[in-house]
Amino acid sequence: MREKLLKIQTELIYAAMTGAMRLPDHVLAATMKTIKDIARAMPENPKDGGEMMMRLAEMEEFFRIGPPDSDALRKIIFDARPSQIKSVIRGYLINYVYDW
Amino acid sequence: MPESKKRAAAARGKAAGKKTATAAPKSGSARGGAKSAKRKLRAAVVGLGDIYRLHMPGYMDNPDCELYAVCDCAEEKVCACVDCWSPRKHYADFKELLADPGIDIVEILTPHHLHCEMVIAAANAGKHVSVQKPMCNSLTEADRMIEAARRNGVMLKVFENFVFYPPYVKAKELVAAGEIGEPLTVRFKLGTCMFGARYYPLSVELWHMLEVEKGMGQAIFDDGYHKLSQAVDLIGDIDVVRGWVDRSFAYADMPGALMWRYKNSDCLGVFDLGLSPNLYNKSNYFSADERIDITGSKGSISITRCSAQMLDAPALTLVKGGRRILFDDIRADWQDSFADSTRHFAKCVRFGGEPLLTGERGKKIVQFAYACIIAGKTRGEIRPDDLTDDVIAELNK
Repeated sequence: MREKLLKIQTELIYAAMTGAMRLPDHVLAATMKTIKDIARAMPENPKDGGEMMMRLAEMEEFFRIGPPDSDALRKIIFDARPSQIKSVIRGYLINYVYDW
Repeated sequence: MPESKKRAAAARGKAAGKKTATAAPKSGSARGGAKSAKRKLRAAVVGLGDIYRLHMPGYMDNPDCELYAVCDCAEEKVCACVDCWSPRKHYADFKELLADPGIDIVEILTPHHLHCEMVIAAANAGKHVSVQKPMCNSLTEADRMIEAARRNGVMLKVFENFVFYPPYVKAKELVAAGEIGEPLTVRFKLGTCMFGARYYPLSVELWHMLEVEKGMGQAIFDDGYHKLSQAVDLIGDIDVVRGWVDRSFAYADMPGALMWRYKNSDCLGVFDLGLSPNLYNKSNYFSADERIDITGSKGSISITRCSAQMLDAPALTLVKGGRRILFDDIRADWQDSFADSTRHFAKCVRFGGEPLLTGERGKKIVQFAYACIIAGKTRGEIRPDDLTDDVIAELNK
């Protein structure tokens, strides 16, 4: 059951990431800000030591400023083997969300 | 006598507590050496990016050198640094810093492509220079830096901390003392993990990764510089390199497997590197599984950690004569390697001596790194000594 849950969540997050990366920079910057605001309103996750909040802030900044760094981020998402990206998502879920 | 044998003989003498000609400090080897010996040296740290925090403890309680000034064009970084480390002076302009006559040593921690011109400017201002590895991006730049230091009579050191990591230093002493017999193989492992490190900004990761597009890359040219420095420091100069290098996450130049022969030793070297996206490896620094195995004709040595501690094992193990000798009490915090490197250079400048990684040796590591990168691309045999900037540009397209 745990494995199935992980797999479904990983696939959904991966699909959302690749879909979102097709949006223009300014839209992504606004999206990151919204996600960051929602995350801030939620209970703090002690397992990641605030890393996700800082990463979201960085991503917002990257997309607000634009290329070349935003293009480089897109390249990583689109050109990396899907299994590698999914492995990172899975790692985040296991280590920081569930602590399994 | 070949250089590697001279160094081995010197290290054997050191292990046996003897004084040797190479261990004795050279006097007046640089312009500031003799005059500076009268008082504690003053250092300026330039470039307050992510790595500077690891360099700062080397100036605390340092009997030979104090942190005198810091410099960065980003005001918020300077303010944060001043709050934390309390240097006497701070600058936003590198030229103004160089005009300060109170500074003896300039430590340059800026991105690689800025090293050359900054080192030359510092040398021309009469400052001794420590420049963060990798020394520079091209051999021409390396030659210009070396020439500027020579012309101005100042010391140039390439800052590389892994050769000062205490378990490695002890392992080197054991090898030189003949504890494992003749070294047959030496293996360096870099296993980069995505989880468990202290937080560091994505921008740091990204600009390193983007170097791949310029023909360099984070794993071999940047992080690899540490391992390649140890490989040369331990056994000697490199004759020929072969290898395979793949790509991860579009930009990361790994996994890879590189191997080489030495010039003056029958020992063979291997460097394997990989990236594990879903491996948690707790670290106060970088989440990397780093190990060194040295196999000799009558024993072997294993170093099980550097920047992280993935294995629950002593930092250093010697196996010989059917016995396992565990070095449990050795200093093994990676931070110590930074502090020891800083202190060593301050002593060299103040009292005479030679940095482990001089400009000339630093250039050899750049050649070695390019040989690894090109061997990984071309799948052919590459001799580091044959590389020039033109050859690198042609082969590293």
